[in-house]
Amino acid sequence: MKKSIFLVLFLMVICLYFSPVARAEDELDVTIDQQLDSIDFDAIEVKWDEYIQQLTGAKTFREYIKDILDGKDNISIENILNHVSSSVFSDVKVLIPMIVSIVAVCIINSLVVGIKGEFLGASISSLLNTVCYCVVLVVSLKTLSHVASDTLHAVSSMQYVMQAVFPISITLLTAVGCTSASGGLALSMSMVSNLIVNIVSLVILPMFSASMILAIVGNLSDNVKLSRLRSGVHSLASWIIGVVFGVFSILITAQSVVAGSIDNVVVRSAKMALSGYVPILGQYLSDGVDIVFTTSIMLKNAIGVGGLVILVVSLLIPLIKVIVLSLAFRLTAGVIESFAQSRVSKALEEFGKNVNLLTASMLGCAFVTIVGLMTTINIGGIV
Amino acid sequence: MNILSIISIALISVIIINLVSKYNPDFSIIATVVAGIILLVSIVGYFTDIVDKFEQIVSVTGINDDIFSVVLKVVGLSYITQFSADICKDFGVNSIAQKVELAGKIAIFTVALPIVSGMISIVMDLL
Repeated sequence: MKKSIFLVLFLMVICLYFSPVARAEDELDVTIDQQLDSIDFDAIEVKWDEYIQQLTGAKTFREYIKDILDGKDNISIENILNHVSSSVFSDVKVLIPMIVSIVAVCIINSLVVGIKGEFLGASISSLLNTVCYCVVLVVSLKTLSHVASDTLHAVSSMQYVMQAVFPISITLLTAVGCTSASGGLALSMSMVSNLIVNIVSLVILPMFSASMILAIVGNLSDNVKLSRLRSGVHSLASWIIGVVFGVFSILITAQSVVAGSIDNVVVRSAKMALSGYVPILGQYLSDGVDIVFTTSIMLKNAIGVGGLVILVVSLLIPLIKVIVLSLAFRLTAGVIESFAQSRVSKALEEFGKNVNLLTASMLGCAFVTIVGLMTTINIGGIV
Repeated sequence: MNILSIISIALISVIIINLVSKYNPDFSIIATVVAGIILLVSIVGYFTDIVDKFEQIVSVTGINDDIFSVVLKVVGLSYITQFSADICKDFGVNSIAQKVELAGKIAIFTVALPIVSGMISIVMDLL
């Protein structure tokens, strides 16, 4: 009796050792490796080498995806924070001479012209005020001229990430069986990626330049009043950014919710039909399809997360640069308000407000891209 | 800066100019110009120290030297122009005073021209 019980237990252990669950885990790893090796990551590797490589232990994007799938955390938050903080300090160091220059010129101007008793005649005082205003403009505009090109470069990087990551994610989504979602997302993301740079370069940046010129000319003389026109242009640009990127985000989200539900029903029905109506091998075929779907979903999600990391790191430094510049202008305007000409502090304050347009355009592009990436990650998860 | 000595020089100059103008108005013009020059020379020494300190600050903070040299030149030109114009006005020659002011403004504009052209080129880059 005891021998027969031991024999049954021994046979059960043998069966468990060779069970389909244990085999499925090995098959999953093999399938993941096969699928990963078949994907071409060359386009993404370019941006990976540019932004991320020095911040992680993974040398390539492919290695990073493997680490995500193995559950290893290869991104060092400390490295990213050090990289960002060193960039912020270098930007602040560049801005300090600008701020000190402006404050010093305003002090000299106020000492010479502002002393009561009118040492200088009205016409010469006015000319001196205008020269000091021009000097302040030259000092501040030298810094501003690089910011617009940095913004365009950041938005182009986001477009590049979109055009590199989304085709792979959408292809994997199609492999999972989410044809409705992938079709809709392919169309909307190609539209977004092409339109984003065009909107920023053809609409937002010209409006930023127009707003800057109106701020410069409007403060040049008391007779020329352009501040309301400048604030109108600024408001229009802000509305365009909000409406365009908001509408895109809502469209992508709504499309994914509807299409995701449809695809979920279709795939489950297909698997049920496979397991129910194919004799003998139906269940095995259904399990095999499950393994392929699972690997595709895991790869899709890992690639989406990798794209998200590249996007955030590539955007972080230009965004911080622009925010620091805007704050520097406003701080300088506040410091010089008590002793400088009112037009100088007003012009600097308006420059600070205009620079926020660049911040808004970068954040809008990032928001749309992140919504798209998160949508591709979420779709297919419940299949 | 010994402000008391400068004030003393100024007051003594005013007294001398008033006395001279009663007997010989032509010499009062010379006396006025000489008094102004003496006062400016007595201030220049202290002004040079301030400019040197300023240059040290500029070199430490990394500010562009060209900009401050333009600003200081413009300030200097403004004072010299106003000084000369005021002397002319004191002696009732307003037409000469206006021409001196015009010449001063042209000189200021000439010195500030690189700043203005720099500003225009940066605005053109924005466009």
